[in-house]
Amino acid sequence: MTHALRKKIMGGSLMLIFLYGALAIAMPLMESAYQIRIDFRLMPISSTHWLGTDQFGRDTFAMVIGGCFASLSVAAMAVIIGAGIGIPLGLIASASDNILSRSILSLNDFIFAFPALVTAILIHNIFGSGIITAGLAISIFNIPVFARTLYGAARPLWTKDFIKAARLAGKNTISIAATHILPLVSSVALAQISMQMGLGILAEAGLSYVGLGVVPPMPSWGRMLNEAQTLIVIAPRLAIIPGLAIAASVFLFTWIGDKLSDYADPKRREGQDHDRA
Amino acid sequence: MLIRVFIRKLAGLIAFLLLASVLIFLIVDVLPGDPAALMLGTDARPDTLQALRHQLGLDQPLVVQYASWIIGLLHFDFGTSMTYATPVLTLITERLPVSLPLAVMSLALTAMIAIPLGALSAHHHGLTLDRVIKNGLQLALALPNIWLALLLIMIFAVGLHWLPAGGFAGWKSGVIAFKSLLLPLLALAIPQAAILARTVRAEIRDKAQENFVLGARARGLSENDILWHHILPNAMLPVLSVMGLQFAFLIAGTVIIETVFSLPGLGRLIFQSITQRDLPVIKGVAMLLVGSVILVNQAVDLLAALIDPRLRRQSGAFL
Repeated sequence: MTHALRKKIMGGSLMLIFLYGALAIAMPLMESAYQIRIDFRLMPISSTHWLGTDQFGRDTFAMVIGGCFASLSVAAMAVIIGAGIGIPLGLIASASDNILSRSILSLNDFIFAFPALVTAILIHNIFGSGIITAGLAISIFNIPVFARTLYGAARPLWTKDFIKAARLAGKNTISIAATHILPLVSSVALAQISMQMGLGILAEAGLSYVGLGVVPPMPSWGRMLNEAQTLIVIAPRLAIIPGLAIAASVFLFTWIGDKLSDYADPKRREGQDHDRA
Repeated sequence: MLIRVFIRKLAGLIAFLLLASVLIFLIVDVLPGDPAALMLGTDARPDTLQALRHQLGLDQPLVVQYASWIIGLLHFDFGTSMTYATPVLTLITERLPVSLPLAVMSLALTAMIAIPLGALSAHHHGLTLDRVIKNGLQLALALPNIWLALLLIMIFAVGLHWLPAGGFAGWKSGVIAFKSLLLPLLALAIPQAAILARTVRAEIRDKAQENFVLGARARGLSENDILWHHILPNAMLPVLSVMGLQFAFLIAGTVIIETVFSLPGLGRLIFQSITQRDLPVIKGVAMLLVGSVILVNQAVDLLAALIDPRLRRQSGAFL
């Protein structure tokens, strides 16, 4: 794949992400389309109902569009909190090998034992079902993910000469981390952000499916899967469509994340690695 | 050296389990305010509330409450379920014969799919086969396991009638039991296998650049020999630690997939106890899930140190 083509693909996928964002914002406009109308139940695909209606007479197309909001907002919240806490932790831990950095790494290992589902189960009593519970539960798991990735990327940089020079110039660790290290690992961070957006969408769907995520009437792809399950024989499309929406958006984000991490690590760029033999 | 690693991992295990128990206790019992009011709802009578508080030991200081819970845990006493009026441990052990095999077998299946596929892809890197596998993995990675489960039900249960769409008749039913776990296993393993296969591929590609591979090639070993006996064993260590992390995902995934297939496992227990606000069960199951992830990850670290002596030197995390 040529560089120009790659750039076009990157640009195209970024545009698609913006499109998703725009669809998410459009959610309130669709509200009338996904109100319960029993007289319209299980309508087939037609020009008025592009993807048909479900057992409550809600327009499936409007539900899919509306579902963008729940999945994007939960995933974005999880990435903002996870990266906001995880990136500084990873950078601080990478700076030196002392009690602080070891505590951070140990804490990381510990938080990894709390999958989003378990955290959601635990905090459900406090916040109930909703965007907050799902978002927080995924955020907590994202913290060690970001901390570990940034730690790995930043650790080798601290022994470089320009960092020593910065130290000699009297800069402290935090300002070196912010002004010299962070710009160099930003593409790694960006790749991880894209990856975690995708995984966040997956996690939100799982949590909403089991009833720990978004609550009705707000549409959610995970809930749509849940509601479609009993109708799998008469109306399989109700299960296929929201799943396609999830898979497509997750694919989009993880694919961009992959491309970004190839870009961040030239060794991984395809076509450029040569065998020694 | 090895014994020190063992002691460190054991200390880590104990410290993490203690920390997890404190966190779970705080989040479930302390932060929501009054668990008794939570369990009985807003219109409960004051004397019933008082009675439940006394029964749960909520009228005692927090430290005493925590201590009695943790001492109970050490004696394998997870408390008593409010809805079932049976010990939580009994409820859990009744469901483990479904959940535990599902989690362990899905991890095994993940490795069984991922390692050959990743090796094949790395072996043919740059060729069409590699591209096909790589793009396939990228797609499989994005599949929500719930959706995959529903698609598998549509194809193999509704369409072809080969396998049951859900339910579990118990292990006594023999082959039928295996058949009813097959689709859940596939739904769990395929997306995780995609993640693992990518790691396998990357690690093999990475190790293939090392000098020992050049040396093996210079000694005239066949490419197959080099891949299976020289590169793969060296690439397995990072793969092992990724598998350790995947165990957490599979545990969570098992709980969700069990509800898709209406299997009588921990999933059903925990979601029932959430709607019933059965706090002793929630605490017990959460502790079990978190505890097993901690245990597996410390064991993986220990195993890695056992395999590779370079990992025995302490660096990074304390424990």
